[in-house]
Amino acid sequence: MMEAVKVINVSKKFRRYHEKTLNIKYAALNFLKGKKSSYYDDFYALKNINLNIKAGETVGIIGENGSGKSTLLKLIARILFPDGGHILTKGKIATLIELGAGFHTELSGKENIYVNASLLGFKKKEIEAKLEEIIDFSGLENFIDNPIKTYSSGMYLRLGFSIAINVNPDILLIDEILAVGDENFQKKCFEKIDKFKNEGKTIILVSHDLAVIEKLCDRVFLIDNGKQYYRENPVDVISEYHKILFKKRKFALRSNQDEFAQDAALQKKPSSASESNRWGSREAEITAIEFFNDKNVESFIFKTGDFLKIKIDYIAKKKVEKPVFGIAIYREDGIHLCGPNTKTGNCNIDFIEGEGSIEYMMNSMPFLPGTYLFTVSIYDLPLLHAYDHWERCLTFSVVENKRIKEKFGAIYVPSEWRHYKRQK
Amino acid sequence: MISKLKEIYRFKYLVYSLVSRDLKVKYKGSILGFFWSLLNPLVMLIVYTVAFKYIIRIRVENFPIFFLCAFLPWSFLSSSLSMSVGSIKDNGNLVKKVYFPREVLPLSMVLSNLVQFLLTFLILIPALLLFKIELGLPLLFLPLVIIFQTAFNLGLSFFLSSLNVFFSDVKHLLEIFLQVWFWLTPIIYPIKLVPERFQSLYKLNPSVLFVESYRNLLMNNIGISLSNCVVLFLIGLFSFVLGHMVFNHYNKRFAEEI
Repeated sequence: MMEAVKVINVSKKFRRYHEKTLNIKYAALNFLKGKKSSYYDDFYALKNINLNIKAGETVGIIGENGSGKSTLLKLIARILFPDGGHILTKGKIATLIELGAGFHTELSGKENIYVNASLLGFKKKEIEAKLEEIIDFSGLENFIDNPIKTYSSGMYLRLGFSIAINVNPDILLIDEILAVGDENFQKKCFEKIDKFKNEGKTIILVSHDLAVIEKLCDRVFLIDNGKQYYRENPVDVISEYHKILFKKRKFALRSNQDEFAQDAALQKKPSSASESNRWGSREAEITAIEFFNDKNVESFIFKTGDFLKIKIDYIAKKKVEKPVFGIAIYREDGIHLCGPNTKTGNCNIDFIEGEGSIEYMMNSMPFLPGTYLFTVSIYDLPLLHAYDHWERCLTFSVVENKRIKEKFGAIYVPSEWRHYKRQK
Repeated sequence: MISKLKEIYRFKYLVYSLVSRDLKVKYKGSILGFFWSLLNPLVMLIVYTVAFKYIIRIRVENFPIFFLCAFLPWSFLSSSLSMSVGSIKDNGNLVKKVYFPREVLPLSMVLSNLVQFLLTFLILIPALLLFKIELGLPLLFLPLVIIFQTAFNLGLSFFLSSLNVFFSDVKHLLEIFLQVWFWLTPIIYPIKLVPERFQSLYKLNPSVLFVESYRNLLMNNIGISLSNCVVLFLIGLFSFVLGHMVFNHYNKRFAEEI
């Protein structure tokens, strides 16, 4: 198989300016003083990245915000140029980085289709051949001759997406945009991507949505701090990503504790946590959170319907009477899915002192594939006073379970169907 | 550079659609449509005719024609530059999000101005006939001069639009510079009014030769000497090549700096 994209030892550095806008006066002054580069310094967004992507592969790139994954995509798209190494591509590239970039609001939808498609490098005839398909896909037949300043933001996105997806690239680069639009629109979008896959096109996908990555991609690359991490199996890469996220959280947690110790020593208010998503008086506090699967192995990826155990370690600096441990799980879009605690779960704790741990188990974890956010807290019995509340401190992913075919809504409820024919 | 030109050629439909978008947006929703682009030179014509013919009393035959023959090419130059200087920066959302040869942006601005310049001949030619100016074979040189001037404009546009990404002062400096340049070009006065000892220095300004060539072709029915033709060609070529070299040098950092 031929390679569609070859990234060889690529590095990219950016300039971090001290001044917001550079003006001639400043540049001239620096030039006269003989110091050429004092108004900026360099930092590396990517360092020695190597990728070989074969034609027909679907490859995911994951990483935290600012890890350099979008930079890599822009390098492949030739929007940015590498400072070291080089990138070889074979075939026509289309980017779905921003929908409707270059739309002009005074022009009609149809006129904008021409301008936008020509931006992607298409000739008039090619656009004319695709025009019907684009309009049809967007579902905007009745509005296509109106100026797009009259469009709603949803219509705007639909038009942008229809143009970008209906041009016929060999390599498709996608950055996060699958998160836009309503459910119907997203479905349309996934169908189109599946079609691309079946046609043997190369797709490179950057996303936060690990479930989407897991579902679509043959291979996954993880970029952390400008460096790459790669394993043959996407699930391994995704779990490595969770580990990195978790390590950083743990580090934040530890530095928080140090701060707490210092604060206590200085007789300051103990609740001066640096993170805004954590609060409480800290007589008792959470020291670690771990997720385990049915084999009792720490993990961050679970399948719908699997066993899930959450272990929360705590330390109580003094005796705390009748504490209540609680958790909450949110879907990525913020929907609060559940919020059990030891009080409602009839696990009454008389007091805690020193270290210990709490375990919460789901025999059949009901959430459908996606990314989930996790909150943990320790409260007093009436649930009024927070000892330690850590809002959305962890994420975990749920991926498809081949055994369970449900895909609509948020959760899977074990259930069965029956059918009776009325006797004549 | 050749491969770059090839690529721009591949994106010719983008250039076409950007030019037509620019023209459409400019005249859409206005009743007078493209006559707005004729209104500006007409108003200027009236203002300068009153000022220079009746108040300052410069003695020039056929002042309106004298003025138009130089002012229209000058507007082509000055509006090309002032419109393309921000073309990269103002299209930051495109430059940062989509790949296409960036040259297309200043190029389409210059071409859009070229189209408007050509349209102004719709009033210039009738005006020439009205003033009973003799038109003849020298007009055949006209397309050549227009092509050289377009290359000249393009080179400067490449230069200015790429510098403007890094120094936002360029736009403001250009405004002032264009005003000075206007008065350094024989648009509202004949070149013979310039003192003898400054003449050779004065003629180093490339716009002088362009304006004089237009005037000779359109008004005086005089062709262009071979040496002037070569000079005009070289001005256009140098401007284009040097401008593009600067542009190409900065091109790689456009998306990061906007």
